[in-house]
Amino acid sequence: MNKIIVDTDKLVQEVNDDLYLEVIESKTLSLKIVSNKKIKLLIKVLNSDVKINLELLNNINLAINSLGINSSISYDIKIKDNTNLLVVDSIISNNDSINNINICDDGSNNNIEFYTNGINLKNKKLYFNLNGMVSKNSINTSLSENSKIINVGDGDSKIIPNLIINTKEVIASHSAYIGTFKSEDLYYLASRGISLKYAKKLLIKSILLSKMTIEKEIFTREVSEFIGIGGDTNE
Amino acid sequence: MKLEIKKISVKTNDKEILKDLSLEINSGEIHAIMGPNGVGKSTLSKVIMGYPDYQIINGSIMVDNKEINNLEIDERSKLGIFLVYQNPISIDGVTTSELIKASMDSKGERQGLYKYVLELEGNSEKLKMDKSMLHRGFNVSFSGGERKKNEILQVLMLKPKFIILDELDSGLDVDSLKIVSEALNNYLLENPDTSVLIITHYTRILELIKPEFVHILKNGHIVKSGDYNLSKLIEKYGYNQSFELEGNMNNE
Repeated sequence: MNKIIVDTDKLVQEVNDDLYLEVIESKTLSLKIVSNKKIKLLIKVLNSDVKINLELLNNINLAINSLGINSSISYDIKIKDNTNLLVVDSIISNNDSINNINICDDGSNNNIEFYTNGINLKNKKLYFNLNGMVSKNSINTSLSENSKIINVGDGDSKIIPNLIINTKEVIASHSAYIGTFKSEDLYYLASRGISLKYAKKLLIKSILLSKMTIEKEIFTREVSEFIGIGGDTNE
Repeated sequence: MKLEIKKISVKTNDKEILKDLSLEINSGEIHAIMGPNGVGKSTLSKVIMGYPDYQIINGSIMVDNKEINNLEIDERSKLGIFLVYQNPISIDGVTTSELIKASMDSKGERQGLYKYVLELEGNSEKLKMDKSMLHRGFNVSFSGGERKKNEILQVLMLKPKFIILDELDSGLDVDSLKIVSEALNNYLLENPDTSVLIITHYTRILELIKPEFVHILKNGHIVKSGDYNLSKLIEKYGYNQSFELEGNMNNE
């Protein structure tokens, strides 16, 4: 997988192969995914607020895994025909993180699954504003938005999932959960001798990475280092 | 490990679940608690483990003559108490291997990765587990039987001194139950000071892991204790009729 470190204000790229983008300072990525391709896109964003414009042409099988650390990742996605799109977007943040996600389906036979997972570590904002729009031209579209935020501190977390449907022929759904860790999970880990603090770290890793499918070890390493997994299990 | 429960009463959500319950399990002994649904069997396992949802309002739990009422769950685990769950959780994104390693590390049993993997794979073979399961999400897409094997794998790796088996046989087919029972019996042979508390509805598991003592729990306290033969009586006549029969036999 080709890797590009993006540290410019703007990147415009035509994508016709698997790609790993490590974003450090960029403000806008404009990516055009060419037709008739099966593509994996890995995006890591560190300490930045990034907007990703994605234009998908026809007959595309696209999987995106994005991880934001102390970052915001906003998506603006336009979809034509015969496309499978799976996006797993995970954010862990000590800072305010406002993530606006707009998906516009304007074609036929599209299957779109969007997962947003967030860990709000401190007393800051973590928002997922999701707008799934299915136009009147769409036929046979399936669209699902699934969001989860775990509040570790007393942060202000919000999920606003909108489905704007202008056609009769669509399967659309959304789910949203904001809360703390399940006590059942914490107790189980504690019953194995694992401290409460370390148990939370394991569960954070689980929430951020469980749906990821691409080169999982890259993000596993990144998340483990950020939250301190592999260190003292008794802290 | 010796575990003594001295006249404990326990409540949760303002409801008293256990009442004046006493039980003494000496080092190396195997005890079974039997009883119909809803009498407090699983509550007892969680009280011993230290679940904060259950409040001890009277009495004490002693381990090797030291009270553990105020110890947190992880501290009890570090003493050597291990609960084999009836319905173990699953954690996607954290592998079985990683979770067991974290448990061992937290107990100060750090060992090199190579030695650890060898031991883990060796123990998984004893349980006839596919090695790939060790490196998948913890219990993710595991069957009920595979989850129970994963629980016993943790027993073999973490080497507890007091094991609570909460409905081990539920969700296990006959062959799998034999495999996990054999692994547990071998563990007990190698670790003769380890004590076991079996919590069960049925006698099937007691034929494979034989208890020296059997207790019947009813309405939150132990109403009858006996040896292994008590479980055979229950199997044949059920809970209510067994009491009546035994009462008649004593009168004769």
